[in-house]
Amino acid sequence: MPEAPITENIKSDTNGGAPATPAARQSWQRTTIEFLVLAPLAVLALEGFFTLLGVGEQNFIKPDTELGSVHIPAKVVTWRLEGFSRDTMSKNGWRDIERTVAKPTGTYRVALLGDSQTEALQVPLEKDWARLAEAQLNAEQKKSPERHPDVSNIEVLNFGVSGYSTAQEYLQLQKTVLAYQPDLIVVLYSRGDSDENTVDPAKRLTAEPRPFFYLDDLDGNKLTLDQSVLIANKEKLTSNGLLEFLRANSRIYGVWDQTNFQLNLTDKFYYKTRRALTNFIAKLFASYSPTVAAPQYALQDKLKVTQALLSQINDTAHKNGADFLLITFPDIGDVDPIFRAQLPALHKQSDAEKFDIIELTQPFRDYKGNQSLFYQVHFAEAGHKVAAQCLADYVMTILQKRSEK
Amino acid sequence: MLFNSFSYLLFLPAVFILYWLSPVKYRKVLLLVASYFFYMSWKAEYGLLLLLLTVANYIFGLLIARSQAEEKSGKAKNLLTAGLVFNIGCLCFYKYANFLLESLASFLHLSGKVVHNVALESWSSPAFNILLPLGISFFTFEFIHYIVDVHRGSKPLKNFLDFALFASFFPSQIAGPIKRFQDFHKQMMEAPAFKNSQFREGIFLILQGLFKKVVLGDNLGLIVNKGFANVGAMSFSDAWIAVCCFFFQVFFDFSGYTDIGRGSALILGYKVPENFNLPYLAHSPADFWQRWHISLSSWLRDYLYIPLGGSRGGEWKAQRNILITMALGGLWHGASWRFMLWGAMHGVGLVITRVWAQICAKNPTLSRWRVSRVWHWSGVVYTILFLLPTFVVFRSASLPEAGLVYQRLFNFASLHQPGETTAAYLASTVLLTLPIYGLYSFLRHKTITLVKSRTEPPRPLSAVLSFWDKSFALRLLTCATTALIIAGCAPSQLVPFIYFQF
Repeated sequence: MPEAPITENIKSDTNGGAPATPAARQSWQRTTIEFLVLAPLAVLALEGFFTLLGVGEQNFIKPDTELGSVHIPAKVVTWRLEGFSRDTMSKNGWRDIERTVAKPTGTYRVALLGDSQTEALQVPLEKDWARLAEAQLNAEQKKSPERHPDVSNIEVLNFGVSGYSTAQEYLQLQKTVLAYQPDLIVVLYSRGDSDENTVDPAKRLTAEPRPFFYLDDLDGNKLTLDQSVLIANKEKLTSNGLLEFLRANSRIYGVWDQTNFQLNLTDKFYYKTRRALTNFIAKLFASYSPTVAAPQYALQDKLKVTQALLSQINDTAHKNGADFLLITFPDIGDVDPIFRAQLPALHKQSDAEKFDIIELTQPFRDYKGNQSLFYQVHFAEAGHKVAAQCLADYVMTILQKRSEK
Repeated sequence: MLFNSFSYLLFLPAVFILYWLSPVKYRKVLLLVASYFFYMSWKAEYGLLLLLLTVANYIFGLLIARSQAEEKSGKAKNLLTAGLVFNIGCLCFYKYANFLLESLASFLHLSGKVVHNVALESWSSPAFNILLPLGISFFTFEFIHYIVDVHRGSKPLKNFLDFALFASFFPSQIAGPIKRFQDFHKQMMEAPAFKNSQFREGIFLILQGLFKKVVLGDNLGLIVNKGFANVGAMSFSDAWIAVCCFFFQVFFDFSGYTDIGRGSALILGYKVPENFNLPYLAHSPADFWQRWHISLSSWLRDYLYIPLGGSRGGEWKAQRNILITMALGGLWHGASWRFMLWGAMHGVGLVITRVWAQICAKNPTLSRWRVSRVWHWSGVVYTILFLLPTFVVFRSASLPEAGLVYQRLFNFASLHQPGETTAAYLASTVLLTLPIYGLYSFLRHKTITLVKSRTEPPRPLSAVLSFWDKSFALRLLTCATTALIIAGCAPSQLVPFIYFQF
């Protein structure tokens, strides 16, 4: 904490309010030298203090030219925005314990794909639904190993990344998740996911840099990748050595980034000022012309694109010897009519394409405990318990079916 | 516009630059415009209310002074009464209308049940949809002080601009400190010149205030909110943590606001009165009120307690006046019976202190003990234990909820069940920042005491102080570091100041 100029206060307090004698002026050379000596010390002290406090550690995402964003591997993350957790990302960049890419013999692997709900930074790692389900499944298996003799261990891998759409999850599955040889691929479908799978061609300039998909009517409505927004933001997404280092290691940078993020969300004036400035700069230096580089298509039906993506995930799973399960986010208060309206279509698709679907709404409604299921938007600990229970029950059923076969 | 918002971060430097670049004669106009802009950025139409109150009180002041100059004391008194009715009426309308009607309805329902009158029992009060104008409690008290002092013989402000600026001055507009016009006018007349030392002190006060508000108050508030959101689920530790955290939150929130306000005023060359002087180190409830919200307690003394008769007329009347003053002071905080109860609890505390002091004065042994350190620190502990339960009433949403909190504070059955509030406390940054601020505050206080006593500070300390005064780089880096700590520890949502609701 800065100290008010004590000696000057005292001087004016004790000499009847007469102005204090000004301190002798320093030469600018001396000030510069002092600054050069003291600044690194201040930076070190502040980094140490922030580490102790767990401040400036909420930045855990780095840009990626293919997926838009990915986790920073081995990053210590202290999360206070909603709930609390302080854990380290795995060396492979997952919000999970360390796992080997190669599947150990006798292991049944479940891969959870999703957004921040799956990632679950709001609760400590050991209390997220992946870890809870894993613990429960292994406990059950230990109790009666004869039920599934070919399975000695069950792993529930958490591949959730904040802000991911189904489109990103599909690409992530192909790029990294399949290497882990999952036996069951689970997608937690959240409210708003379908909005992020496709982009309005007229709004590419302001769209968040991420991969989008569209149904190409010139090619029999084939699901096609649109990377135009990623390409347009290539410079922003390409790793910059210094920035990458700061992002991974500096809490001061973390505070800067976090402040910017929070003000964008909470302060309308800041948001407007920043947007106006960004747009101005973008127009000034824009080399990107969406009309030339981007594929042309009409405004897409978001649900149709989402369903096409789910079909692809299902196909990919089957081709790789895995099952696919779709879990839908609980909407216990019926607050999202668009989401609710999508569910019958998803059920119809699951029947037609032979994949299972679990709606979390009812189990959440049936919860009888007195703890909160949610913080503001995300699952609280009790919410994770309910979701983990549903997942564990399903996996037990699948294993049972497998044993019977 | 909140002092802890991004908008203020732009507003204050803009006003500062324009103010000091403007010719002296335009500075007051500029401050007035800035103050109205500040006020109207919340709700533009309430700027008109502030203006109307200002015009009315300006005229009252002139008329009272003129009547007194013409030696028409009866007319002056009538004008004063009219002025008081006008100001208190405005305050009552905006702040207490719904509360009074609801209280009347409750009273009628009860009476109806007693006398078996269906009409009385079924009477429902009309509800006014009134939004409380920000700061009305504070500037109304400044207006009352003004017309009363003019009636008591102070010279009124002839220049409307001066009076309007006194009423609307943005650094103290929303939650005080409640200024005295004589001090403020003197400063306006002197046309403050830019002083580097004042600028430095102002900046440090702003940063200190932001640290108190954002790093401490707001983070404590998150813990408090967690506990009070579900009082029924609070365990023993939850209840104690929530109450103790609120005890500190309310101080850091309000004194943080005052520091930012005082700092903002200081960089514009104005001094507004101090409002806090280590209140939680008070050794009695009476001492507490000399250290807590000083501008309000001195206002209550001068414009309520003394006009009620003060300590004239015997001990019983003095005690009665204390109780009335404190109960009304409590009600000033908010239109609710629990605030009145809070004030009354403090009134009882003051009366007990008074009676105890009289007992001690008569007893030679007690008189000797009273000067000992042990006595002093026992008094500090007693005062804290007295304050904690009063803050339960202050924070709770209703009196039944306060009762439930008291119950939870002694719910020993849940002694070994740390709940969500305890978890929130253990995860919070205040676990570290609160002791650090305590240490800083202690060292600062010690240093000031040392320098004030003209004792030569120990060598290392004097070297640090001297380096601090001379090194611009050190000061700049300390400011930047503090600003980063404030940004880093800020909660995700902007939290308004507690006293804004009053």
